[in-house]
Amino acid sequence: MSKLLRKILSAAVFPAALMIVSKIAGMILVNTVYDLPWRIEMMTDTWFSIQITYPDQASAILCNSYSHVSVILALTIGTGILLFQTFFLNVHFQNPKVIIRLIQFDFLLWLSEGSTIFPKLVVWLAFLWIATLIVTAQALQSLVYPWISIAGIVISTLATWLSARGFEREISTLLPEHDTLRAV
Amino acid sequence: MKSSLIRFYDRFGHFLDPFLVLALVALLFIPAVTVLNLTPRRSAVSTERTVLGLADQSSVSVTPATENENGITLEKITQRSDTAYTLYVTHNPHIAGVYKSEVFTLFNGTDEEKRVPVTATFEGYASGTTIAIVINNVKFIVLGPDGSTYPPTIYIQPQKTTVVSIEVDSPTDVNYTTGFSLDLTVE
Repeated sequence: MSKLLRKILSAAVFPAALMIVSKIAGMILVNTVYDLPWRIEMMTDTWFSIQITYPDQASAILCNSYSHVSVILALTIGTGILLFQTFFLNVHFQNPKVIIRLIQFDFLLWLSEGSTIFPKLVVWLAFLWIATLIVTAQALQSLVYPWISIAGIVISTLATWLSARGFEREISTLLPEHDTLRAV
Repeated sequence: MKSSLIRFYDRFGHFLDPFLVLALVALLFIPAVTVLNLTPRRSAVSTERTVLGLADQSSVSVTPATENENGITLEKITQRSDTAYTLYVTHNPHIAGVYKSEVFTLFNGTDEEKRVPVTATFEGYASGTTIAIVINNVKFIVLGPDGSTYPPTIYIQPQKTTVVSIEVDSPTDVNYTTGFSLDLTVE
């Protein structure tokens, strides 16, 4: 069995669950805060026969939008933590001051290698992009506020760019450029 | 045992890779589908109704009478669709005689005249019993003394309310509860 595949698979379980849980939690939160009259209905004209419904379209869009915000926020936080680990807690780029601080706060376990972070980062980015695509598709159908789609695209692009930068940095430590080798 | 398992994985483990890829695709696909499934929609059923089913001002509404008399009771109303209702009326045990009670009102909230054909189904009525719908003191027989049933049609003018009563003419004493259902379809 491929080690990389196993790593990616085990890394995908948590964000997959988080995506569903954050969507449900977001819906519960919006319904509670705005006191929306939701109910479960059987519908025959959709792919899925059991649907959560609201008496008016505005309530449905409100709930859908903020529950998507919750999904994107949860995935952004997860990706953000991994990016933070990539840039600041990577063993390859560690400086002694940071290590001492980590020991002081008992956060030494947060130190990680690129080989363990990057498969996770790729998976989290994939989920972030999936969520963004869903939001964008629904924004085009006027089922979600458009600003959420724009925010999702900006966040996903930024996270992808930062990941690429982190990956480049990692690669450069493993395979130094010719100039660097000469300098050494 | 453990070493044989390791040897098995070493030899055949790569055959499991396609299944791992499938599992990965499923892990990406399932949350996406679940999130799509959780997309809330506008309800297909109007929520302007009361518990019994009924106050859509944009069409014809059915409202049960507040007081039933002479043992004639509107037990329940079921709204089968936006335009179809089933009303279930019961009549307590009684001695021979004529019994009448207001049962429900129809309100036409639209700007056009509406037709409401009525179909009745009877349970446990003795032969000779006559049942009629009474509107503005006009009787529309729904069950004749010979057991024949008739499907009357109620016409409701725009923005008008029509009070519907039921009259039961029993030629003999009845010692058990009888009942019938009325199917109303707004056209």
